[in-house]
Amino acid sequence: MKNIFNKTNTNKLILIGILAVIFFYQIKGGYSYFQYSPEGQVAALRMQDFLTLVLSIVVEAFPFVILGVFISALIGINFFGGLKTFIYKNKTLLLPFYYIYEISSKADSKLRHNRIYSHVKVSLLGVFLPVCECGNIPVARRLLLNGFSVSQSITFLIAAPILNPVTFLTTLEAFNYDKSVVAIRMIAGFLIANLIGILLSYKKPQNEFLNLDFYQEVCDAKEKHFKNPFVEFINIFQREFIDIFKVLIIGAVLAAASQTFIPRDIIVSIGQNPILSILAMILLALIISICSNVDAFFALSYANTFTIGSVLGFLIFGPMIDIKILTMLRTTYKPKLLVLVTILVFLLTFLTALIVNFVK
Amino acid sequence: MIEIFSSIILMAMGTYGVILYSTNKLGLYIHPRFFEESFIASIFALVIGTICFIYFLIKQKNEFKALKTILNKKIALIILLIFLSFYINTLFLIIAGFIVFAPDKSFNKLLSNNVYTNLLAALIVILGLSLPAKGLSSVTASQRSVDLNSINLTQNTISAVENFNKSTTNYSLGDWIAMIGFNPDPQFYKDKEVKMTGFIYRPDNVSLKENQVLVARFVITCCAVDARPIGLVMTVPEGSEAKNDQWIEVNGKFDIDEKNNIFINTTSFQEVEQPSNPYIF
Repeated sequence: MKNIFNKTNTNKLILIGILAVIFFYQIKGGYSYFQYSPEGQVAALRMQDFLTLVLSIVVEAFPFVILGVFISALIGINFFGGLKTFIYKNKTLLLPFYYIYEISSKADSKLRHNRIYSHVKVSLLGVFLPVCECGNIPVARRLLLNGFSVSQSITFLIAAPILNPVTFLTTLEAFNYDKSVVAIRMIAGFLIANLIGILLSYKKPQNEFLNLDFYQEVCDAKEKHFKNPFVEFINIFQREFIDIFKVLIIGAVLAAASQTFIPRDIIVSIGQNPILSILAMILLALIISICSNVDAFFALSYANTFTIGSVLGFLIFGPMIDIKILTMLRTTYKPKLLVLVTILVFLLTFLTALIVNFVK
Repeated sequence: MIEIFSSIILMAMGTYGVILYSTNKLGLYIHPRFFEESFIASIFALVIGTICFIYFLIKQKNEFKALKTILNKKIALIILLIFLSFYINTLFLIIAGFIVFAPDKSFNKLLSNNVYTNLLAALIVILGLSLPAKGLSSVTASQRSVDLNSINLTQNTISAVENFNKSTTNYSLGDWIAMIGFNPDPQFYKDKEVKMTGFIYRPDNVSLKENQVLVARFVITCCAVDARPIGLVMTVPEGSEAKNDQWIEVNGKFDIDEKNNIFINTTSFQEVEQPSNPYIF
């Protein structure tokens, strides 16, 4: 750290290079290119629009990022666990809630070994955990520890990012003019997750799918006991915020760049093709790894030029599989399983999108 | 250190939201129905960001000192950059400033491993805070123009269609396009008086006569990302110049050309400032 300036630093050279370019640019009157020549004016407007698009995605998604992080932090400090014990303590006052809980837990214990029931139950857990996919992976690990099977944890991972209140809300806000998008997204997410989970559950030694290191890691990560829930809340809040915000920015930059810098003819010719458009959007979803809570706003930017099926393909595939999730899942599952799940999700999403394209 | 960085970003985003809300610039980015949500979230972010900032500043005194030593060593460069910013475009200097800091190993340590994504986030926030907010221009219009003459019916346009017989003097571009979608007979509009605002747009996929341009606006349903251009053809009176992207107020009458298309026969137009809500909702 002491010798920052003593070492020959390539960054310094880059800086000097850039400053030199700016100086020459200034001396040669480079601004006249942006001010007077027609191509220059268009280039300047293009950059201005690029920034406007990026900022509009960020400003639009910001309230939902805050909401998602807030709820995730509440779960992190075990707020809802506290709520459950509160209901148990005040049985007489909160009788209806207590009965709902009792009845549901009784029904649960009877149906526990039913294959379909157990997967459906797990896939609906996301309703109570409105965090996006990165927040779900720790939960999935906890599920595995508590005796859930691998197929159930996969169902949870695939379904929870789509079937949760925040995602529902943002999709509804973004596709206000076409409510069927919201319905198809939710139903397809539910069906695909359960189908894949049930298929996987027929593979018998389930633990074969687990990464060997996972057990080791689980042993290290013991339950933390914290004294001050408020401090813990702040800790989780800022950590989750910066993680999601960074991905949001990258996604916003990529989405805006693809909108402003790729010529319209290419976008329209890909976007209007019923099969190519789906493949393009699924590839985009795989790469940009955008958080499911806010991805509806990104998809919306393609709604004018791309087929509705391909937009749905993005909305269904994106939350289930992307590069970010796959790298995170590598710590828990074996690559074999991840490849299998990715292919299954891809095929089912593609099928759904294709049906939508040809029906609508 | 990443904690302090993240609380600064929280505070900056909160400030940005509050500034946009209080200067009526939010309309350039999002639909008015999100204004309150955005404002509340910004206030919340500002409060919790400040709490985080103070808490981590006290907790991580030592790491903060490390940052200070780095800043001390770079102070000469920072002063140079500020000095140069009087002569050179600020935007370029901000980028140059990032290049000074970004690839430094000491900084990498402080901002965790993926320093570039952190700095990209900071760059976008700083650009938002420092550059003037602008609406979308004709460049995006030509990226998006598929059908310039259709509009989804919203509450405003429905009332425009319903109250058509009463008064049409204050009809906006959106109202007229909704009306034309509802009743496409050109004869119906002939000689009706028009007064509307929009920006001048010369599309490359619509063939226009030499003295014709479009007066256009964007329609948004959620935020600027889904903006879609709509427009009506207008004639440019002889002797006046129509610059692309210039916002204007048009006065004139509807007329029909030989191919039975509606256009605005302009009597006069004035250049106006971009409205604070440039989009149609």
